[in-house]
Amino acid sequence: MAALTAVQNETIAANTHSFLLGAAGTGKTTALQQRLLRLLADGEPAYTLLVLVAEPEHQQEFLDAVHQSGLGPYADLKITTYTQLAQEMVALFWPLVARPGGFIHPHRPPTFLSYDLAQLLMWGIISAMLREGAFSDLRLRPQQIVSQLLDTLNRAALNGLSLEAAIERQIDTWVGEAERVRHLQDAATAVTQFRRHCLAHSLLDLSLAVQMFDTQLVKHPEFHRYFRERFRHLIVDNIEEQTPAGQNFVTQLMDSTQTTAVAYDDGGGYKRFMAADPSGAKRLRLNCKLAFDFTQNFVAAPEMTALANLVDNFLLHTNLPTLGAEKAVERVVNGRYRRDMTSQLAPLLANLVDQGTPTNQIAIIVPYLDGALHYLLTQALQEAGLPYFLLRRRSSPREEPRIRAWLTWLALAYPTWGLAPSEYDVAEALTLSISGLDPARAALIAERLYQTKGPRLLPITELPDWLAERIGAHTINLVEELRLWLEAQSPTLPIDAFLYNLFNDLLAQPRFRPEPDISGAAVCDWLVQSATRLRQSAQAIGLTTPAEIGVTFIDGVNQGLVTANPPELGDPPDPNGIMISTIYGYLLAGQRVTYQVWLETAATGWWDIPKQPLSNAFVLAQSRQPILWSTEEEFAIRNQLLSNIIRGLTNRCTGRIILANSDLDRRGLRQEGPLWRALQPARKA
Amino acid sequence: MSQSLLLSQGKLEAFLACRRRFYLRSLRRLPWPAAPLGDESEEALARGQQFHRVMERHFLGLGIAPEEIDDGRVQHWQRQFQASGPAIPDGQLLPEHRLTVPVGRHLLLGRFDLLVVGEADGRAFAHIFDWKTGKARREADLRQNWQTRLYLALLAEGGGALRAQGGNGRSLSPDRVSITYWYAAEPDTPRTIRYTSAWHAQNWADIQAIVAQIDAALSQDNWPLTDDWDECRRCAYQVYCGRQTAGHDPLTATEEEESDELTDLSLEPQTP
Repeated sequence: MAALTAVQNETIAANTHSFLLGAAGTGKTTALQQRLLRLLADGEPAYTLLVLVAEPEHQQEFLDAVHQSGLGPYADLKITTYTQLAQEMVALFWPLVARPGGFIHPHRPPTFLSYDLAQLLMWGIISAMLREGAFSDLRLRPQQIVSQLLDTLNRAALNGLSLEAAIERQIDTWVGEAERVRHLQDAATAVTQFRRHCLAHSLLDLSLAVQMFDTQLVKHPEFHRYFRERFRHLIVDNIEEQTPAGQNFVTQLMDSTQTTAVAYDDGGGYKRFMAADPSGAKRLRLNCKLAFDFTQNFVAAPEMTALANLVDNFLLHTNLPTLGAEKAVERVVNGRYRRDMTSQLAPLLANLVDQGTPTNQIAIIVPYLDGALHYLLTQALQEAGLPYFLLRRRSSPREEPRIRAWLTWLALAYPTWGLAPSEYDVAEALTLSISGLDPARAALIAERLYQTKGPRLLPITELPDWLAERIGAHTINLVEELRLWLEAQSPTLPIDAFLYNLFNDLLAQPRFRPEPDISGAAVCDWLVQSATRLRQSAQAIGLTTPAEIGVTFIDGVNQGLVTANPPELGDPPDPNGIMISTIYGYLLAGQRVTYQVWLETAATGWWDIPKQPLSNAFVLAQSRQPILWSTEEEFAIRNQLLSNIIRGLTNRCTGRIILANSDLDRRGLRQEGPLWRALQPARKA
Repeated sequence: MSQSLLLSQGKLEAFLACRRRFYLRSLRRLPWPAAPLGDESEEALARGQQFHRVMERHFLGLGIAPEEIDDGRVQHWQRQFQASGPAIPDGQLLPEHRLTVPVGRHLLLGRFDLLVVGEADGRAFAHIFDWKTGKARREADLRQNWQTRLYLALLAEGGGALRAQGGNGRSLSPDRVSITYWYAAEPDTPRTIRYTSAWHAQNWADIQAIVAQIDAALSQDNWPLTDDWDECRRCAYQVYCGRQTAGHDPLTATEEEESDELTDLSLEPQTP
């Protein structure tokens, strides 16, 4: 490790509340880790230390620091995120919060709703509303309506607003077409019903867990006693990513801790869509006796700062120095179509690797990676022989053929559920289930043996001899074995047990698949776990029969509502490969690289904010005055966010930036977004 | 491979039962569907977890009355504990406490239902209490059990880290360490096992030997299948390993499902 700076040493040694302020790459996290080690080395039991990080992935860095320090045994060191802590503490102190929190059966233990279960519960509520005409004329897919309604609930809780206040804000601040107010009123009905259902069945989604923690527990004397007796030292990294509820907790805890060290990443606050409140976080400086300014950037060269200044000057009309900004740009790759862009980019990256840049020192950052761009990019990298991996792969389970296949067999095993897969689905499922069966022969089998009425598979005796001969006796017998197996399944068998048996007793057997089907196993493992979660919570979310559970599960996957912890699909990622990431995924991971590629630099995606007519993250921000929402405000926010993004990216780049762009977007429209225009002086030079 | 591993009781047992299973589950993290528990096992597991939570609250001083417990069986266990629970020594009460102790380049981990640390007769002591809601076991079996052996060894080696005022890194004398198993099925006869220096010398050497075997397997990348096909009857990787002819045992839940992972299933949506 490099020698520590004077300001880092002061931070490590501080014996009071201290505030660490600086941009990314200035050594704040290192100072916090060393401070943790110093406290342990001084004999503080690990049990008395609480470390709050912004993302679950950051926990390991702190643990690694402890493990590598050689400090010896430690007991119950708590390194966690605010929402994990809230969930854990509400579960532990449930008897203190259940009754005052409004739960109808306070003695019943709480059930926490994973995000996909929350989506399914909300889906059940809005399905009935949609049938009665709610949200009419709203151009959103049902899955988008569900996620935006949950966003409203979560944003209200994380901002410390009551649900009623949040609903009121959204309606009162809207100036636009009257239809929107009706949609927001429908949204209010849905979220209120959802909340009532949770209170009646002791269910806690993220919003209710946070609300109970923030409004009931944090101020409860018993809880205070527990924290006061346990935690003597608090370490908070990336406080700018904390929500008002999180900041409220930190502030309260600081009253009882001997020392607190809070690090603020200037220019951060990337989780504003999840209610991060960087301006409120900065005010915590006033609660600290010491403030340390981290100004020495260990990562970014001056030209990187100049490049970020260039963007700021364009977007925010500042007048910051930009001398040398063009030196931050390694190359501009420009093609007419996206294919041209990727095919030019890959050889350029290969050249950098040939010249000695490790592949894990290159990151390709993109605002939105649609399927076509993903294909073009990964094909180009493969052709250039460059390994890569996707950071936080956001695979959509319903797009995985094996998931469709295993669910096709589930639907066919239970024809009374009324779900008839298409002939194509059955053919695809056959191809994926029987090794060596090609799609053409599978299509012939499906055409002859599958009846959507029923739905059911017919016995193989229905196949004409010529076709049976063409398909082959071995395959035919496996089709028949599959059919008989499906017919034999008990109607009372839980769906998770069905899926487990389907894979282990049948499809993974060597006669169906001579080599272990590792991808199939990953998919089935995910399906079994998701189905188990649904089954265990079914009654509480209003599903009573196996058929209701089964239909909800299949519909939920197909609608994109069952999405939690999706399996890693395709080839295993190569962690030493080139990283491909969305903007926020990269910034929150906090990784530094030598070369960054800003892909589709001219796309407006760099400047866009998610279109969420039912849940405005900025209107719901606690610190915002309840004034009318205007186009000017939206533009100002977009500019500020893009400025922060570029500042964050340049602070995490030790070498240079490659701008890669296509003139036309996927719809063939010309691209010239604000980032592209802001960078014009650096592009020309 | 040169990684540092976090080794719990479950992982040690998995390594001893079948090295291939240890490799597939803990190192390669190969997902393979495990059989869902039956309704009865699932209910037993949920009740056991609820009882552990009740006990945790009790020792945090929350004072939960049995009638506030929704489940009749758990309520009954709580009443039994109040009437016939083991004597808890004076000291600091640490419910659901974890202790991590380095061994070579790896780490050993234990999670105690209740740990009491303090001083008696001028000497530091540590006493573990473990709540059991399943079938009671004989003390002789418990002495051989890896939970007993690992937990006692962890406290002897790293128990100093539990004590305030600069105790980090110091060990506790083995004869000041003990563990009590309290079975809800036999509330009047808790099993208390006292550790000794002689036992610790042998026990710690055994643990170090297992860790050395893990190191050797890591360096040779050698993970053979077990010869004991009975182990395959309970293993999720049975089909992967081509051992499907071993058959199946009905799955039962252990009272405390181990979770060494840092993150549980998230309540949060994914980042855009």
